[in-house]
Amino acid sequence: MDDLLQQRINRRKQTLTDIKVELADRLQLEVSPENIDDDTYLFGGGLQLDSIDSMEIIIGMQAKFGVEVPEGDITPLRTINTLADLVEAHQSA
Amino acid sequence: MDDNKKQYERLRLGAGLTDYSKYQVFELSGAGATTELNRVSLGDVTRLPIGRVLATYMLNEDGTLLADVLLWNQGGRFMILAETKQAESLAPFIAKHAPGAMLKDLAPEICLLGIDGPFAWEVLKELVGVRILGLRYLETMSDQKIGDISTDIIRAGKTGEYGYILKCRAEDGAALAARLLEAGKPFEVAHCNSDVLDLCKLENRFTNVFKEGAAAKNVLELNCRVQVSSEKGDYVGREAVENCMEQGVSHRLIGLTIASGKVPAEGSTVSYKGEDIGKLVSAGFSWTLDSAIGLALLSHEYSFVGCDYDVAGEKAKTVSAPFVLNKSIQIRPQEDSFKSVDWSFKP
Repeated sequence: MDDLLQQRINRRKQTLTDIKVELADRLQLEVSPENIDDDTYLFGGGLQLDSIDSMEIIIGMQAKFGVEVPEGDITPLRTINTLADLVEAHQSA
Repeated sequence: MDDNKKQYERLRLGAGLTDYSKYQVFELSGAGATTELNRVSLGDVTRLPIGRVLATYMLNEDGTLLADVLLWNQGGRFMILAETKQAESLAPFIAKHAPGAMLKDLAPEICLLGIDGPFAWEVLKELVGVRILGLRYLETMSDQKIGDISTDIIRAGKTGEYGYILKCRAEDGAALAARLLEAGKPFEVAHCNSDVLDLCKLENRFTNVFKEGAAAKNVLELNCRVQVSSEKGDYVGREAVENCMEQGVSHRLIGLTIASGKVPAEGSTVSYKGEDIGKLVSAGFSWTLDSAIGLALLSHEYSFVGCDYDVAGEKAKTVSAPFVLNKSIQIRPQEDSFKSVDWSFKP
């Protein structure tokens, strides 16, 4: 693996880890951050969160990353990876 | 227009009638049913309330996937709906590892149909009333009368849309299908074949036991670590799963989009600057995205979003899955209706 790709992957890993730690802490998840896969669904059959949790996630994304989830846009609120997409888009803007 | 595309549009915009006859269906009963079922399941059956369904896996001893299952706690007995590539192995597997319970093959006696789509709930509302709106994911409604047909309904599916599995006696299956199609006429309900369902699964990254499920060397490569309970007792495959948890997976499943729109053959090598980093295990053309998409099992250090790789000579980018934003997410059953929503299919 060359340096450029390694840097890209390291940045992504850090973002994913930060999100998992934030959610595990904020939502008091039973599962530990290292046992959450990047593509884990937040709702339904994944972490089984609910609508109250979704508000906490939105607040957490603002507090931790300074990212606002656009009102009515549920695209980022599906998996850990889609939250990371939102954070990276904000960081590169 | 391609017939599969027509079926796909009906499912993604309205509702599609699907056939679950390839599922294996068993009943496990007896005093030890809960304990025994827990021993053959990855998920924790002991925490499953009566009337609810658990979506989980059954594993081989080596941690590979044997079956993708729905387990319905019916109070003292369980119904097992299983999708497996190893069809002949499943019943002997359960019988061997759950000797303290009685196993009965229900498949000859019952018919399973599915109805999936953003307005699947509205079709069923015509048949069983407004209670269907309150049925949440993996909840059930027993003995609903559709005409004179006793029907059990499970809220489940693998399309990412509202999905319901309907179970009735085998001899009532044709009549139930006819009633669903009749009630579904105003919603333009169409039969949808397994190719269409496989594409919907892929678009939402639901496990396909015949593709990525068969290719993974350990179930954890399928991104299911949240299903693993450290509190439940022993189960088949536990040692392999726990070793993998400890040492980490060698490969992980990740989504890809292929820039050219061409769908590479499943099994194609994924590479980075000439280095073999994994295999494409599932692929198709998403009409919603107007793009070729796929799932690859990549070496764990390469399995991250936002990377550019090659698949059989085609440029591919790793992306977050699910690939599509399902219409059902945008639907509020209390307010919306098929008749009032104006969606044109936009590839």
